[in-house]
This record gives sequence, C-alpha cells and structure tokens, in this order.
Amino acid sequence: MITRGLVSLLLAGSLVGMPWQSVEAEEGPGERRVSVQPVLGDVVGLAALTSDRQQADTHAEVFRAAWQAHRRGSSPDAISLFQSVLDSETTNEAERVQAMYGLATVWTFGVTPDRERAKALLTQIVQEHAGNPAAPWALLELGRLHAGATPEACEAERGIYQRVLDEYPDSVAIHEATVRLAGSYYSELDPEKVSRATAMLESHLKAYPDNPLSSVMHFRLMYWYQEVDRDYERGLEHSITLGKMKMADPARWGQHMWNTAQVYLLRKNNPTEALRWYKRIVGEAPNDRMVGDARQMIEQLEAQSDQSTQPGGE
Amino acid sequence: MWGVLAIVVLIGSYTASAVWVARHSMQDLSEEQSDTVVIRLAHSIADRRIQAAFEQMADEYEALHPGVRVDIQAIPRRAYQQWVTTQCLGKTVPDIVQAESKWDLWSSLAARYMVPLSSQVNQPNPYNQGGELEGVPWRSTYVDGMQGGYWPHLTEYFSVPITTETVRIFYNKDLFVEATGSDMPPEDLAGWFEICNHLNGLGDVRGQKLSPIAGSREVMYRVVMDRYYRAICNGMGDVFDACYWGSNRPEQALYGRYTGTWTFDHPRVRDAFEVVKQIAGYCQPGFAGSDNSQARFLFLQGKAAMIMGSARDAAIYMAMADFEVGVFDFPMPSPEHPVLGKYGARPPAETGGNAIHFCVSRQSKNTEQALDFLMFMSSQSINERFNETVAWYPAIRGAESRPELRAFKPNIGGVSGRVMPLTVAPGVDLWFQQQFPRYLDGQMSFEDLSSGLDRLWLEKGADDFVRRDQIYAGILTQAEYNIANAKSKMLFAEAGELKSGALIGERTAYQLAIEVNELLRFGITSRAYTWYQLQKGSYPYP
Repeated sequence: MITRGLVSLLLAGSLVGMPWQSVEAEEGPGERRVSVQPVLGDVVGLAALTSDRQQADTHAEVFRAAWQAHRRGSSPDAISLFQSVLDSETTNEAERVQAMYGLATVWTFGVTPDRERAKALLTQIVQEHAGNPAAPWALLELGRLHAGATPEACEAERGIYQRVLDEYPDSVAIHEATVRLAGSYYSELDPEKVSRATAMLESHLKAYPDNPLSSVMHFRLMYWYQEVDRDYERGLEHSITLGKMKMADPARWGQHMWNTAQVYLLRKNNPTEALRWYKRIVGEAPNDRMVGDARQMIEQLEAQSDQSTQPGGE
Repeated sequence: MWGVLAIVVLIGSYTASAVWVARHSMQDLSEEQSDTVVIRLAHSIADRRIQAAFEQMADEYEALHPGVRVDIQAIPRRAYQQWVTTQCLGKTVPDIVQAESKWDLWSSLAARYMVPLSSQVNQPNPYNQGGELEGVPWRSTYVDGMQGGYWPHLTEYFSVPITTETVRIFYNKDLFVEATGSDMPPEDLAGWFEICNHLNGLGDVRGQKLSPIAGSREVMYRVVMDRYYRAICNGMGDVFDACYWGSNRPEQALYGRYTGTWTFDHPRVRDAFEVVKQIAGYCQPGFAGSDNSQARFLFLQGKAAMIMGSARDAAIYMAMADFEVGVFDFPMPSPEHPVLGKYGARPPAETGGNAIHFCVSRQSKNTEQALDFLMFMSSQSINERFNETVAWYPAIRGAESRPELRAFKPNIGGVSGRVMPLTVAPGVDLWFQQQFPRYLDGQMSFEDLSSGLDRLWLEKGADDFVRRDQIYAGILTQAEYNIANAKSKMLFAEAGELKSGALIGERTAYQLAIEVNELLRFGITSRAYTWYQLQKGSYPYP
C-alpha cells in the first residue's frame, strides 16, 4: 500500500539539491515591442553602483556567453567558457578577474555547487589582484561563504567584511559590507553585539547619508528600534527619512507609511501628522492592501477633527 | 481512504505523464525537422468550454504568428500538481504551465523551474497597442497592479494572471421571490439572515427540506471564517503589532499567548465566530462533510437557495440552473446592528488573490514566444473576449465583464485585516480545522474552541513559528542569487546591464535584492531575538 507519506517523500526527495537558478528573458518579444521612454530612476545610485564596472578586451563575447549560460542554468557550459578565458594566453588582468569571479559565482549558485572551489577562486582574486575594482566584492562574497551558525563562523565572516571596510574604504562595496556586518552581529542574539550593529549602521548613515543602500539601513534601524527595542522615538527618525527616500519595492510603501502613521497616532498622540501619512498611502500607493485601512483612519480622524472644531465641541 | 486516493493520484499522474511524454516525443521529432515553433501550455481546468476558449485564443495567436503553433492541454486536476512536478524533474515540462497556487510546493517549483518575469512587467504589453492601455507598463494594466502574479516571498513576478478570482454568493432568484416577495439581494448582514429565515419558512410550507445555503467545509473555513473574522476583528491586532506593520503576523498571537496578554476568548472574536456559526446554521445538515461538488448539486437541484463561489462557477450555474441566478457580495453588518455595528466592519481587501495564472518554464526552448503568448492572453481586448466567453471576471483594466458578473469586481480598497491570526501552519492549523466544524454544528462551545486555540498556540505555536522561519531561511538562497546576479552586472559589462527602474520601482535590481534579503533576514533575526528576550522576561509586550 502506497501511503501519503511515501508519495510525499518521493516528491520532496526529488526536489532536494536542485540548483538555485534564474533565467532572464533577455530582451522580451522582438518586433512587436513598443519603444518605451526610459525610466530616469535613481540615476545617482546607479552611477555609484557601476563605478567599479570593468569591460573585457578580447574575450567579451565569451564572457557574454558564459554569463548567459549561467543564468540559463547551464552550469557546465558556463564553467567551460569562464575556464577557457583563464586558459587563454591572451587574457589580460581584468579578464582574468572576471573569469575567476564568474567561476566562483557558478560554483556558488550553479547546478552542482562547490563552496570550497568558490572560496578558493575568490581568495585568489583578493590575494593576486587586490588592486582590481572587483577585489572588494570578491571579499564580500568570501565573507558570505564563510557565514555559519557557530560563533567561529560568525567571527570569520565578520572579519572578512571588516577587511572590506578597512582595506577598500573608497569602494562602493563598503555599504553592503556594513549591512552584512551589522546583520551578522544582530543574528547572534547578544545584546552587546546588537548594540554594536545598531551603532555601526547609525554611524555609517551619518558618514554616507545618501549611499545606495541607505534606505535598507534606515529600514533596519526603524524596525529594530520599534519592534525589538520598543524605542519609537528613535525609530520614528528613521521612518521619516525612509518616507522621503522610500523603500526600493513600491509594494512596501503602504506598509511603511502605515507604520509611520500609527506611531504618530498611537505613540506620539499626534493625529495631525498621522493623518498626513494615512493620506500618503492613498495618494502614493493606491493599489496597496493598506489603502482601505488608511481611508478608514482618515474618515475617523477627520470626523474627530470636525467634532473638535465645531462650536461647543470638545 | 487516503491510501487509495494516493494510488489514484499517482496512477493518474504517471499515466498523464506517459501519454504526454510519448505524444510529445513524437511531436518533438517532427518539430525539430520543421520550422514550426510550438508553444505548449498545460492547465488543470477540466471544463471543455474553457479548453475551447483557450484553443480559440491559440488560434487567434497563430493567425498573427504564422510558423507558431500553440498546443493547449488539460491535465486532470487531481493529478495536476504531481504531473507538473514530474515533468519539471524529467525536463519535459511544457513551455507554459498554470500555477495552482503561489505557496507550498508551487513556490518551490517556481523558484527552481520557472522564469522570473520581474524584468518584463514594467514594459508595455505590445498587444495593447492602439488601445487605451498602449504604452502602459504591463503590470499597471491589471486591475490589481498584477499583484496576483507577484510572489512576495520569492520577491519576483513569476506568473501572469488572466482572470481575477473573488468569491461571492450565488442565489436562486426564484426562491428568493417565493420566500420574500423580492429577488433583490440583502443590503446587510441582518437582511441576509432575515432572507435565510424566510427561506427556512418556505421549506416548512413546502414540506420539503430547503436549505438557505449550500455549504461545504472548505468554503466555510477558508472563505467565510476568514472574511468575517477579518472584517469584524480588523484593528484588534494593532496593539500587539509592535512595529505597526499592519499585517497579522503569527508571532503576535504567540507573544500574546506567551505573555498572557492575549486570549482568543475575547468578546469581539466571539462575535465574529458567532456570525460564522449563524451562517453555518443556514447550511444543509452535514455540510461539514460536503465538498464543493455536493454543495453545487444541491444548489442546482433547487434544494438550497444560495451557494458561495467564484466567477468560474457562474457559467456552470447560469448554464445548468433552471432558475434565474443572481450574485451578491458577502453582506457586512450595518452600523445600526445592535451587536456588530460598533465594530465598523468593512469588506476585506481583495488584492492579488487567487486567479488562473501561468508561468513560463525555464526549460522552454521558446521562452520569448511563450512570454509573448502570455502577453497576448493578458492584453485588454483578448482578456475581455476570453473572460466574456468563459464567463469569468477579467484581470485587465477596462476589460468589461459580463453584466451578471459585475458583483465579482474585487474590493481593492477593503480592509487589510489587522487581526490576531487564528492559526499558523501546521500544528495549530490542523487542530483548528478539525475542531472548527464541531463548533459550527454546536458540538463544541466557543469557550472550548477558544481555550483550545489558546492552549495550542502555547503547545505547538512556537514550533510552527520556528518552522516557518526555517522555510524563510530556505528562501534566502534565492535572494542571495538575485543579489549575485545583479552584482555581476555592476562589475562586468558582459554580464548585462544594470538599470534603474528595470524591475519594480526606481532603484536597481541590486538595491531591490538587498532590500528583500534584509527584510527576510531581519525578520528571522528579530523574531528569534524577541522570542529569546520574551522567554527571559526582558521584553515588554504588548
């Protein structure tokens, strides 16, 4: 008799170990595509984020094919292509770094992951090409690969992130290094380390208020202060700043604005400011699931305000 | 019984797979020898009418694209999920598959085997050219902003919805007239119960059993309880929502139970449950053991005056009923209701809900063409025509629905449901699903049900809570992949272009991926830390 359990086991077992992959539909439908006005977006952030960008010389086509193979899930092809660049006699330094970085990426996320191989390649980049713009990013990846549940693993991971901050202070990689370093401290459930994480994010934001990951840092601090520390005053500062720069995902805007409105209403007893934030939800996130709640709150607060301004009202 | 069902499902799945593989192996061979691009689409909707409507769309698409053939195949619903899984593992999955859900196994299938569509959703749908939606980003052409295709835990759009699914109440207008003298639907909850009482009276007069409502266990639990609990108890979760995130997070109930500051034995919760119990009282005897098909049979036979269902049921009722069928939304208590009026209940928001939606397989050799067909299906005119034909509710803005289906328009601006969650899967949820029908039919008091929930949250809630975060931790790998993918483009020109606003919002894919990663990580960390502090007694709650 085949039981439900066996069926479940068959299905579950078949999914274990499958690779994490992503395939991009590179360009979309061809001749039917209507031309689109470019989205200006966060131009400043984009410029900063691509400041370490390098271009291949003689092996550009091979690299393109390699990255596409990786994203298609064809790891053996990707490995073969990246390796061919490493084996070539005409490879320059920048291409060598890209090939090693690409190989490390495939060994990390490909069909048959091999973290040790990935670590070895990233270490090689850091040791042999320390001056290459990709080196701090290789260090970041190395740190991530060292992450683990034990205190020793956490220390190893943090040590590597700290190297990014110490050895590459001018690289845009320092922002992600800070986010990950703080995250590593937060994850240890130790009040002293938590304080260190919070202080680290605060000081980084003071030094780099407009960094490309500042909204993430403000979110982290807002969330921690409010949810865990119950310090709504400190959390509100970050919430207000986040309201100006907005979270990256518009699907989160309504939730964040709701948070700010509720803090004003329930913690600061400031219905005027709360009303402003509820109205922002309706105006700026019209499809958000919080819109109905925001409208309800606007009605209530405006009714209360009308009552209080009427002659003889309270 | 479960063993027999498992065998049936397994045999059905393998049979369908074998037929599919045999058939398409032969076709693959002939296709390799021709220039025809073949797009295969699989779905689980057994209705021949729906299959015909899909084939009609395929024909129209083929007329626009000579050299392209679209092959539509219906797979038996009971075997469908296993069938898709088997096809994915065997690398024979069709180019386009219907996703039956965004959760559970479907979530794993999407992450591993389906193409993320986020990079496409901000592009206009070319098949809207010449119409009012020309140039509008694809996701903005949807009634709900394409939330139905966004898989929030995977932070990607993975699917393309072609219909909007909401649940309403179908009613037998003839019986309404006979019982009340009017075929108008109720305006509020009290009015609805009054009609139900009249219908009960009609049954007595006729000397035959007439149930006001044809109910089923699944609908009562997943639809009615969820709807009225969210509507009546909306806002109760605020005081427990430490971060005022506006969502009903399971940890709120766990923390509340642990600190003794929350109990489900609350008057407002009781009132919400009593509403559902009263609705259940108008269902046919033994409804808790009925499935949807049995309830449908009762309604069509005229032995029940109302039944809950989606627009997908409308065509069935309107075609098969020998009485006039109307539709209305779940009535809410009016402000004047003596008990419930004070709660200001409003309908819950219906955004991104269940819909018929399709994914593109990574194994497809014709990814672009498959995506193009989905864009075709979700263009305004095609979507309107398709949904009009099958009597479903369209997903695209400006696409008109049949007049009789206008009640299915989603309540985009409803309330979110800031409630204390009743259950968290699976420990607490399993118990509740077993006991809830006993409460509904009077075998269990609300006191016993609520005290049971209180107890289960303490006994099993913490385990469920930890297990849930283990699942989230598993999703982190996908989040890290997305970051790595974006970083490669930041560093190397050959890896592709990193663009602002290419995905969602105006930031780059890198910033979006870091944000998602941090949201997940931070949630896991803060919950662990808070739970740890709670147990130490150093966390004030609420």
